[in-house]
Amino acid sequence: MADHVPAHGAHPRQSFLRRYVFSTDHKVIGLQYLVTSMAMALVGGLLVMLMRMQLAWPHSSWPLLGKLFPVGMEGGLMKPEFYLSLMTMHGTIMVFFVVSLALLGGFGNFLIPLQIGARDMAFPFLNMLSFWIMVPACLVMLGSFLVEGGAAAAGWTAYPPLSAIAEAIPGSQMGQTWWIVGMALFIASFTMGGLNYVTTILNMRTKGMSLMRMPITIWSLFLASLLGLLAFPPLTAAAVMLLMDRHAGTSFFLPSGLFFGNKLMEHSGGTPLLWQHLFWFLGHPEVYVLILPALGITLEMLPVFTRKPLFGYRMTVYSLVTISFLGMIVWGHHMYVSGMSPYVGEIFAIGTLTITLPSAIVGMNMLASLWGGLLRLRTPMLFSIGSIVFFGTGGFGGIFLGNATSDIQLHDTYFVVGHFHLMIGGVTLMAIFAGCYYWFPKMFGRMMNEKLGKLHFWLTMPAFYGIFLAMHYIGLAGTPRRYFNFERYEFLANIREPQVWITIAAFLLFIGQFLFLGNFFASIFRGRPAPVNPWEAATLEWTTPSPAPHGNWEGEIPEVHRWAYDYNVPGASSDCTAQSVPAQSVPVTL
Amino acid sequence: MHYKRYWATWAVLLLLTVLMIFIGNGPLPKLLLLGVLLVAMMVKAVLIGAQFMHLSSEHRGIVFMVAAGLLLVGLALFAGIAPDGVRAFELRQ
Amino acid sequence: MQQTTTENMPRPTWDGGASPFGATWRKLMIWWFIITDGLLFAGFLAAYGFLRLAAGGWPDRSLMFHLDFIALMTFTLITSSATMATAVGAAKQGNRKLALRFLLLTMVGAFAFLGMQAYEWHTLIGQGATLSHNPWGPAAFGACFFLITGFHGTHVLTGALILTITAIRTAKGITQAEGVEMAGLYWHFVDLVWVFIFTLFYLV
Repeated sequence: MADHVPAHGAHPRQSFLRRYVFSTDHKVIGLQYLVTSMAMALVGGLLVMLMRMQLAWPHSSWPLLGKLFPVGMEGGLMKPEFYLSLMTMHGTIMVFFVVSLALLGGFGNFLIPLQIGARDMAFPFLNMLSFWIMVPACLVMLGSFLVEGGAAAAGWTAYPPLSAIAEAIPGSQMGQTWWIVGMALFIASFTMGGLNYVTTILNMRTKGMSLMRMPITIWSLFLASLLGLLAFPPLTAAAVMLLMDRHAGTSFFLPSGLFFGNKLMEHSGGTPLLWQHLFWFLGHPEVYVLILPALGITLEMLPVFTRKPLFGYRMTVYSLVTISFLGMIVWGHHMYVSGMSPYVGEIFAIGTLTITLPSAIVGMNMLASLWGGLLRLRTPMLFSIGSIVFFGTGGFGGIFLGNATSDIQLHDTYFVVGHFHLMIGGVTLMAIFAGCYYWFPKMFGRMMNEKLGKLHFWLTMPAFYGIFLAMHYIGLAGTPRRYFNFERYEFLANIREPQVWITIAAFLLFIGQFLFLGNFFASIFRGRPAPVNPWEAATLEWTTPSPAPHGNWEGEIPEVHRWAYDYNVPGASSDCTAQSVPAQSVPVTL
Repeated sequence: MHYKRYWATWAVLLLLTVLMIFIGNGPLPKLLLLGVLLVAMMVKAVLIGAQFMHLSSEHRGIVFMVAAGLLLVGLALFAGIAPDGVRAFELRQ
Repeated sequence: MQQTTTENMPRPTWDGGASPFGATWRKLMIWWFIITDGLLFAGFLAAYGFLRLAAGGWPDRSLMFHLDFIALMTFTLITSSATMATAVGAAKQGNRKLALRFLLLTMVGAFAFLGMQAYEWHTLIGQGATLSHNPWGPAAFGACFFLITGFHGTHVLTGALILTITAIRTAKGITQAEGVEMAGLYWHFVDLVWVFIFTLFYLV
């Protein structure tokens, strides 16, 4: 072991290709993931801009866009099936290819070895393979816009029969098949990554880094990887069956008596209910895969920018574990109106409402961590507070949707859209930004611009809130989701004006993100050089130079003597004691 | 011989398999038969895990990890789905 | 999987922090792989259970299967698992020759099983069973049966390939005891899945 350390530190210079493209260094792979997710986020954002234009001004013609999308927007007018394709791909890209990629692929890769004190992942080659399977997955997803019939149009949930029968909608021709292939590649890549994270966290921690001394980010990434590993395989099984239904004539998800295009389908014996079960068995844990690391990153910021220990670290960890466990067995709450057995629905509802307890504990611990702190309102802290705010607001919506009685009223309305965007859009996005601003110095050795960052926050936060809080209200008014035009419905006459406002806020939100992109890429070259520990934080990654060298620490890997949040220890010389400071010099508090 | 326990396991597994086939052709009522077969199946699975895959001599953490990850999650999946299979049947009648 | 994880990896730099399970990170990883792969089959089998419950009736198994032949297939697979366990034990004791011999025996079992499964499929297809239709009743039977045994079959095939590679590398002395053990874990897992398929398809 020790004999390998110097070899790592003074690594021979590698070619550009081995160093930055086919790299096995976890930091480079993490950045590759992060940049890929930014590119995909741009695509996902553009798609939703088109949707919002349609919703705000349903009859307007956009000749320029007509030239860009000759099939979907013939003559500049959007076709309903094109709208559905946009919606499907927006959901798929944002959930799987942006948030999962940034949080688990990006921060997971970058942070795990640095924060637990390891030189690299347990399986560096597998790690590289995981990224290079993700790239074709992204390309297949994007490429599906170009195949006949356009991209998949059955929603990110891909419910059959819409997704299983080619005659059902143009997007269900080749587009849906490409969607399934893209998802299969994604799952393969994610599984490789997940196996890597779990083994690395369990087995490669530095001396003294017991499980209860791990930074909360690592805990959340660990739990999220476990959830992904457990929940993705049944979806893989379901995807294979869907593929068979589409191309091999089976009827796993298709009942008899389906009519499409004046033709009676030959399928019989299956039911879409089965797909819904298998899909949501992944789909629900997946939202925890997204939100747990986001909560972890949010919690990580709090002690640093309040200069006091994280409140209730152990309780938070136990709560996150409980949330993960319960999150695995409540998938049925997405299916209250599916014809599911009401007795099973009751169990799912009780389980769902039980999750509010550990979630509330986490939320309370966040607030208590802020309480009485010496606030330093730097950009990462702003985004972290934004994340807490979204977690609270979004959580309230969840109480209504988790309850079968009220969900039957709210199901498939914009209330649902507003709720999940606040949670897995807002909380995660805020955490991703907070993480980017916070760890940027460790990634590139430079600081991001503070003024631009604050401006970015003040553009993002109100716009985001405006859009999705408003959606709660138009949802309560009865606006159904996934419709491309509401003009026909007399009872929705009142929501025409809010739709325009929401669209304007959405444009603002989208434009605001260019501030971040510009700041990010400009700061790589022009940012103020960063010291080793610019935020005065206690976790291990701040004990190595910025940017961290190949092999992460030039000398020995630091030993850990305390938990990650020893701030303001009585008797210490500074208000923050790094995890590697021995117990003899400063008393250990946990 | 160190390999004795593997071949003892092998013998028990074969015996169980023969018994299962025998019971399967017997006159047991349907539900009881199902129960007996499922129990025998689980016994076989546990035998393979414990003896062939050495779970009996691994750290308890790994045993717990596999049991929770594979058995509990698999059971939860089935328990959530099966009632709706019955319901789908009833709705079709 | 085998080559990418066993060779050319940097050694763990963790020296003295507590590994909670006392297992190498390779073994931990293969166990997690087995858990995820097992849940893939759990998904398939749950779907099969669902469709069977929803169908109400199910074809009479004595019409479709020759149980004595299936018993022979089961015997082959269980025996190959026992030989594999012996090979792992021998490799752990450093008895390369014995390990290689039992690895080869396991391979014989693997390929024999594949051949028998091909024969069974051939017979069933000859009688008119396909993915979307079968002569004995609910079409869901054909879809579930071919899909799940097919997936198991591809796992057996993968396992056979892994065994072949492990055997060659053991003969050359490249693969260490741990490599044989990893291959063994995968192979026992394939056997484990068959226990479920055997009971749920052929006996219930």
